[in-house]
Amino acid sequence: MKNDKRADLKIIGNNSASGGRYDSAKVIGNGLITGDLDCITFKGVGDSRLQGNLKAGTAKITGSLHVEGKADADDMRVTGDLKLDGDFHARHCHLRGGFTTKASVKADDLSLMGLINVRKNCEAETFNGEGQIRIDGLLNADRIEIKTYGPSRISEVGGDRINIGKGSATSFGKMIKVLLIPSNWGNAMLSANSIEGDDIRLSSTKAKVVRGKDVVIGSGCEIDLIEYTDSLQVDRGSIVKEKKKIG
Amino acid sequence: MENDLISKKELLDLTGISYGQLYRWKRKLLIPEEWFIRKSTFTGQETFFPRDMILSRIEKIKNMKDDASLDELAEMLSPNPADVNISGEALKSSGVVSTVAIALFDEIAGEQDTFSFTSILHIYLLDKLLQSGEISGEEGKVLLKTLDENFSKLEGKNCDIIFIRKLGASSCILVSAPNQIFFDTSTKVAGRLNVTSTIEELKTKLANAGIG
Repeated sequence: MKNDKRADLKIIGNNSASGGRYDSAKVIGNGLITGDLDCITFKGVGDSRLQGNLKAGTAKITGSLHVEGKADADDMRVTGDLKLDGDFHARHCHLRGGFTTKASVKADDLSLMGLINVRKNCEAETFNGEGQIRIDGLLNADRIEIKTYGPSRISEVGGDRINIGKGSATSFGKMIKVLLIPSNWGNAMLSANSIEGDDIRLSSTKAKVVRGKDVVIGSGCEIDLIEYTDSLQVDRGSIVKEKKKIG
Repeated sequence: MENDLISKKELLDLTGISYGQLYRWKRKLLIPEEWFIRKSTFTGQETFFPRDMILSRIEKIKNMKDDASLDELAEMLSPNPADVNISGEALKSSGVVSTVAIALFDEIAGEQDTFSFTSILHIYLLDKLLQSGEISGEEGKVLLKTLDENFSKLEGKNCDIIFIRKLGASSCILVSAPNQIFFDTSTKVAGRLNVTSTIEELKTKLANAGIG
């Protein structure tokens, strides 16, 4: 079965198929795939559901996909909604819309825009998140860039360079075309238990502890404790209860 | 217990590494997840680490990171077996394990042309216990049999190997770690080895000998 030829799978309309190994798998319409799917390219247009694990070289989804298992893709592009019951692994993931996983995320390069919901940890080399974000575990990435467009919550943030702030109204205008969400942009604050990194820039952020080397606190922050080693700047429009220089 | 742990803040201060590095190493699995211990303190949640293990690990990473990429390091530090297959000659001449231990292994498993990492690990564990005088050659055979039959069930997990003696009879136990284990007073623990840290040690030795 090693050098088996991979066939193509096509589901058009309201239909279902069993999983397996394919070259290209295409779902147009309302598709249901039962069992694990291993394919080189996956394309979903419409509403598809996979009752098993997904493994794909490239996956392009326009519409929605619900994977009732794990998903592993080299390159994942989603416009619409991606829902996973298991872990998500990807090299690159570009998503505009909604992203939900009941487990953890591991990727090299994550660019997520929209309603983001991760139950466990989220790890990446670069993390770019815009929208309303909720991560119940640790967000761990070398570079973290977050723009909030709705009340967001990340339990812990850790990395090298961290930049968190409220999204600007102009790109928000662009966003609203893509998304159904945030009417509550006004209180688009990010709250976190702890934020730890080397180079940290925050605005509109509420955190219990911020620890870093160089910390810049912009406007609209509420921080209980900041511990820094090299430098600290705090905007006058922010509340910092306690500052400690370490080392 | 408190003395055995080190807070994240103290760790960074002591080793001079940055948050970025620590998180990067965590992502690359150079520091195992289970070493991150959450505790509530009066300032909220803080992360602690097992002091000795994390300090030696960070020292190791700092020493090796100039010569190897982080992915290579992760490979070296992971509890999973390395991808190694070497001939008996090469193993003998490498000096990683003693010829006595190899001979014992051959006696149990039959003559081998090539040794996989798992076999080398078994020989290495045996060798360590033999060298320290904790077990005899006969007991070594028991050890090899135990490893051969059961090690695959614990592969990739942290485990300890324990040798006990009671009234002159000895017995070998393979147990997943961390675990507390107690014996009756007449039982004596003859030898105990942590397999995961031995794997690490062996991988380093093999790498130094130019294998793997």
